[in-house]
Amino acid sequence: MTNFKCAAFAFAFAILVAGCAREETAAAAIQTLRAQARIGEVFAPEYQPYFIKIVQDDFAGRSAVDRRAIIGELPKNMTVDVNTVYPTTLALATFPAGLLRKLPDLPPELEYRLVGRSLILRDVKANLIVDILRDIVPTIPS
Amino acid sequence: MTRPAMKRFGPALLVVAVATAGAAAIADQTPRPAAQMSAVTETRPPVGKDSVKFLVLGDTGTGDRAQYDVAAQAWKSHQVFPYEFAIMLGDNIYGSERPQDFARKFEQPYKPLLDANIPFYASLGNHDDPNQQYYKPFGMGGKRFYTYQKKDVRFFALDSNYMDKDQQAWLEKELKDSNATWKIAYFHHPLYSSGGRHGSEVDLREIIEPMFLKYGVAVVFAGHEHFYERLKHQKGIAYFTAGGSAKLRGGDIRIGPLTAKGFDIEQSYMVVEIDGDVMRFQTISRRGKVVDSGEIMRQVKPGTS
Repeated sequence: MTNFKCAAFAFAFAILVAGCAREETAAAAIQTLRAQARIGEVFAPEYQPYFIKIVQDDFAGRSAVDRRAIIGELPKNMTVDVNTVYPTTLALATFPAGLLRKLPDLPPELEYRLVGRSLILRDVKANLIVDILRDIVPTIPS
Repeated sequence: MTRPAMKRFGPALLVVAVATAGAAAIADQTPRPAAQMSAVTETRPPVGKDSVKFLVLGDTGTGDRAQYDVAAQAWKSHQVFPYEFAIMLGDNIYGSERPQDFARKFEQPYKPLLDANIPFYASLGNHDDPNQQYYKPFGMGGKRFYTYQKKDVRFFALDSNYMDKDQQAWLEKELKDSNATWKIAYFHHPLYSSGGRHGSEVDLREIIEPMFLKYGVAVVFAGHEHFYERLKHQKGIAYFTAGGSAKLRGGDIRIGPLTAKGFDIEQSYMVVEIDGDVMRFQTISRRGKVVDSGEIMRQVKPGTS
């Protein structure tokens, strides 16, 4: 959790700086302070197997039609990276309600989203991608 | 991850977000020309003198000609059927959400309604930036899910994009605490649908329908599917999909055991009246034809009023 605490400090300072600024201002402040942010700072390696299992078990338990419907709606061909803004012109694909039930609770400022084959953590107010767990959503068999 | 680990994980994450003002300033923009429309509407006047009357629009925010046509037609309906407010079923603004987009995709097409002080109450769709909750004309009061009451009808506007535990707990409490005669829920994703593109949202249904049943929700409106569908009553609840108020997915309805009435050859909207124990609805096409109408009687469960 050490990395996580460092990141949290940066976020806290960003809040002081940005105050009640607009989304773009908040995002810019956090981006500056998290300039060195890397994948896995929140989805820390020791927790990743836990998340992977939940997501993969959830998809495995769905019908082929349901899987196809969910995966079909996910934004694709989209490059996402930590500490970047979630593209505002892209749909925030519906998060499967059943899967959301199984994942650990988050504070209201954060949410899970699926993008392509990745699970991301999104800062709701700043619209920033906080962390990414790549390649955990199954592909649709052709 | 263990629960204790999550307790450490959660509070630290709380500091990630920064409060934002959210609401966008609206810039002036030259209105698009209105399309040639039928001069008449088949909309019939309401029956009740003191009924709750509202307009239902879904998947509207394209800024294209179809949206403007439907908006113009909805205003014509208002001359005959003076609805007092409008509900929006999500996908309120497609694509970019700059101030000029809010003007072109909402304020200009619905200008007559806004000028007449008809309030809108929006719900969020999968194409909507959740910051729309701060856009005052959408009437969301800075909340992605909320409730309000009109006379003896309580409305629950939900965020079906992200049905987290907070929202579930909120919904259960609000439903439980309400003693309104009618409870109506609306949100973007249909729990039942005969759409070929999307279909029923079974995941969501398993979570929220039990609450609807337990606390007496009588009617549910949804969008997402770009057509109109009236479902056969499911477990006593009347379900409507009305996501074709600008976008249209022609020929997408797969008529099956769920469908009571489908219309997917033209854009459409609904006008609805709650009059005592009766709900009357009319579904009107872009060209002003009534393509579906009917009455729904409120079903009184034993032990409830």
